[in-house]
Amino acid sequence: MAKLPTPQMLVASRPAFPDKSWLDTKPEFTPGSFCYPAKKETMELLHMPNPHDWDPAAEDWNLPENWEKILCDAFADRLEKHRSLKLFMDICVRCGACADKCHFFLGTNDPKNMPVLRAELLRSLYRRDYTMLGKILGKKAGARGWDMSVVKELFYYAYQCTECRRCSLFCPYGIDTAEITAIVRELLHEVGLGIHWIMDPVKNCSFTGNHLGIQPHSFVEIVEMLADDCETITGIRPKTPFNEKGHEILFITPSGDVFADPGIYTFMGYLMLFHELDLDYTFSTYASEGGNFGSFTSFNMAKKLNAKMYAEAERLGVKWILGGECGHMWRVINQYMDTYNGPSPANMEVPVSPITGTVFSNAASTKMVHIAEFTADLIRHNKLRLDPSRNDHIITTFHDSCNPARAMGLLDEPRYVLRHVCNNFVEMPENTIREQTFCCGAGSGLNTEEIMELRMRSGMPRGNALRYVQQKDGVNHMACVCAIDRATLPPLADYWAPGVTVSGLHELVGNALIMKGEGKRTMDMRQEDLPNVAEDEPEESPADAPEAQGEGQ
Amino acid sequence: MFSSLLLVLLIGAIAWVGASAGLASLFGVALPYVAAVVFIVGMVWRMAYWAKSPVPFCIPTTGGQEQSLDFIKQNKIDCPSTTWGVVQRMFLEVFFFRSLFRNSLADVRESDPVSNGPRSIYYSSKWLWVFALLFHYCFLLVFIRHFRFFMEPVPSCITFLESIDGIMQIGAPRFFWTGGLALVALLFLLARRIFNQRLRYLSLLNDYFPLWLLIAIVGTGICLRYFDKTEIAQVKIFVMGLTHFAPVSGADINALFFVHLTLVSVLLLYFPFSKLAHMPGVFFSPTRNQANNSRRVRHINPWNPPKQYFTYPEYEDTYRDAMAEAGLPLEKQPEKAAE
Amino acid sequence: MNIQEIFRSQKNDVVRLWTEAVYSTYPFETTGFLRTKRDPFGNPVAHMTREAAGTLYDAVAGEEVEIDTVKAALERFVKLRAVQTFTPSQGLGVFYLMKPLLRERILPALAAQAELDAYLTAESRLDSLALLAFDIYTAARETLAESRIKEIRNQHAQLARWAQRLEEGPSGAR
Repeated sequence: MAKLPTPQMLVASRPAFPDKSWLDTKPEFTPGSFCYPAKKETMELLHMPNPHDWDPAAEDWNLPENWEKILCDAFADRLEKHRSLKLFMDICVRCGACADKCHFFLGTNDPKNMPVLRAELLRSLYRRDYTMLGKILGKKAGARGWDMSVVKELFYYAYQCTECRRCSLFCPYGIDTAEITAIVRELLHEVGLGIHWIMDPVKNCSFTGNHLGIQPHSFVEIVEMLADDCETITGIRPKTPFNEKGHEILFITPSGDVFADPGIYTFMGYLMLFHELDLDYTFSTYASEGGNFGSFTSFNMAKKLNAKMYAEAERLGVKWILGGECGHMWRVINQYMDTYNGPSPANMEVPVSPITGTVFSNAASTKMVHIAEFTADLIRHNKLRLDPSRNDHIITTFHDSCNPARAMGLLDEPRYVLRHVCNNFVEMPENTIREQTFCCGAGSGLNTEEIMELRMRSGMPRGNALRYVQQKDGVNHMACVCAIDRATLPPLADYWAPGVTVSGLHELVGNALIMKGEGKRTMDMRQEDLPNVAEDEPEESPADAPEAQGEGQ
Repeated sequence: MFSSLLLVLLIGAIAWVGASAGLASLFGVALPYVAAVVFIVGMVWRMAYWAKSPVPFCIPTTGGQEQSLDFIKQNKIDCPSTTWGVVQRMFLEVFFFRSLFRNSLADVRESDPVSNGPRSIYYSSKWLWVFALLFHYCFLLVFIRHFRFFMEPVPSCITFLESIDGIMQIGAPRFFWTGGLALVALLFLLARRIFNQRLRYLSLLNDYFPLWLLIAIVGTGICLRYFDKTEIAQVKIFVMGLTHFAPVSGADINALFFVHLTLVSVLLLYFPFSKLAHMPGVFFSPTRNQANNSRRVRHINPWNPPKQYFTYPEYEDTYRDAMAEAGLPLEKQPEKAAE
Repeated sequence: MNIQEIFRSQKNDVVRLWTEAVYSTYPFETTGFLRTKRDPFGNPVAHMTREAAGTLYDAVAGEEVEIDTVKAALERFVKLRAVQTFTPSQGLGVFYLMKPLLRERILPALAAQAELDAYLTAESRLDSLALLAFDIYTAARETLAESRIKEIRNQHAQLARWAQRLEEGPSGAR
């Protein structure tokens, strides 16, 4: 007689703490725990080393014959190139302060998602070849050699890290797991291991200028549709200048905002803002991608994609570049761009706001200004007429995106703007915002749907904080300054804090912006009815900063 | 954990037996000299090894508001944009363990008024910071206090330090609180590793060994002062002999002194080749010692590879006809390009 | 002791044991972190489990609890189980881990007072709660599936509108 399993058998109680050390436990590649591999053709097209077909769930990953040598050599090469790597391999004292800072660890409880152990995966290999103790004592001192299971382990955990740098903030030596993850991913690319969700956009950005591979003429048409939508809402059709020479400013934003809901509404916010200011600017179809998927691949790929920005600025003869809301795009611009592809072309000048005359001396060399800085400055100088009551139907909180927060320090500019376009703004709990912000759980190229469950787990700390303010303050909206956040936070909110919508900062700006000669606003940027529209003409109050007027120059 | 304890005990035992068997000069003279040379050469080599690799990118971890518009207040220490700011940040980091001070603990608050039940919170947790700081400072003071063995006459600052250190005036000889507190802090750090399951899981031999070694050093030091008292004058003559490269016989000195000295020598030998190198290492840390000014000042990468990218002419060649049809401005019109 | 008192007297123990039983369902390399007695690894997983445990027990014990409160308390726990690497039976089976605990802790006391009925009612309540959890679980999985679809759709939302317009082009001209 067949026996039915008991509930206990079904849920399969497991033994207590592992007897085996972390060096011996290996990850299981179950569906949903890994991203799909990059296509061979994509890798070939991009001239990536050792392109091949493989499947993470398979036993054999079809690595090239001499993979061990390739990896050892590549590792040695990276050690020579990055002091950070040498240092981070040497000085970790394993104090464990980073452990519960990682959203992946908090969400998955996998000990190897503690930043210290994630780095230790690579460090164990370093010990064998580069430290005396490791050479002598081997495994006793936590050293081990390369083998296939180690490569798989590196892949597994390098793609369970969003390079958010939260651990780095708390590390007494500033050990940055993002640096280690980035280098591990570089090593894996040396033997042809990459993921589809990153490499496909890399290919598209490289050859067409946007992450979906839309050709230039179509791209323009799509942007024009957004301008049409602006007209529907405001009665004014903003201009959409493309590839035009002789303008003062080149505007670059992630192409996701041209294609993806709800990013498109942020993009419409830009169009309306620029039109209202009569800004002398142009878009480019060639450099239409601000986001840099190359930065999730290798330093060199990031450089390659980023190079188009200065090249286009030079060709079009602009004075400076204005950058849209995006997380990793700004990590690249703030910390890498000038180093990669600088110095900026001769025709460029230190950015000066043509409206307020403010000199952005903090961008004197890169010559690229963040839209939040730009708009905050406009509001400060009373150059915008805003009606924040149009956003009265939302109680918003602000999600600091990891890269602007911890690799740039852009914290108060977006808040300044938000406070002026929204009457109801509530912060999430301390220790989950500003430089201590929790990642959306799917940054650095992990926002792919095949790992949705994993994303819900890793985004849980963020989701919890959001739910808390939802319960406490009735928050129903979350603003952010990152295109990836705009893609990843909606499912996260739907799951952990249903009822909270997500938008970019400039969608709210667009909503509140009173344009010259606009029709009466009855709908918001999403063409949904504005609930707070008064029957008669709303009184026109310049709701901008009343406090101490800034000087114009 | 036990193997490293055994290792430390073994080292101590060898020194004890050796010193008792008349090999005092080996453990008291040869070993310290070797250790000092290895330590100095090792540290220089280690720092040179780090310094050989360039810092290709400007990657500070920003811990506060950047320098931006004049009405937005910059956090000049946690997000420095000038060298002076970096100096302040490093100062706080090195002398007050700024980042560790920030440490928070993820925990569950049992009854939270908002969620009507348990809730995850991340609250500030300073224990690790307190004990780490306590250990490092006490150890530093103990180290400085030992200079009275190396110097004749004893500098007044060291005498002053001793008087402060023994301010509680307990026991005879007076109890130096630095030694005691260093031991307490070390025991906390060790207990943390043993009883915190997370830490125990990731701790290695290389983590326990320095802790046991330091505990043994401090322990033997305390024993030498309060319990198994040594003749201080003799020790001073012996140590002065060492520092003046004219070693004298230490045959009359307590064997425990040689255990203490041997353990210190082992620490010096071990230091440059282990995680203890974090002491100079923190100064090299690129996420802390760089200013967040990479948009204002160009950071140079010495191995910056040549630019290779899909250029605009290539792009226009690919899409020219479609772009022309869409009315986009072009460098070359299709008919011209066809020529 | 009346029935209610019997249930209440055992609450702490059963809740604790059930929580531990839930922790022990996690993959072996993580349980240690959750289970450590004195270091109640403070993380969201532990918090959601404990949030569910207390309310679940009260509901089983027949305390006056609002169905919405129960739902809210179970919701995040079940949602969590729904995104972890469990089969549905593993995800929800944990509710039945309370039965052996009840049989061990409550049944003898109630049997001694010849209150078997009350005991069986409590077990039935647990069954209903498991069904309630099943609803939540299914809804959570549907949300996930929807999120996947929505995400793909959203990624190309503007593209789709554009393509639609292209198709409409000739029809618009007619």
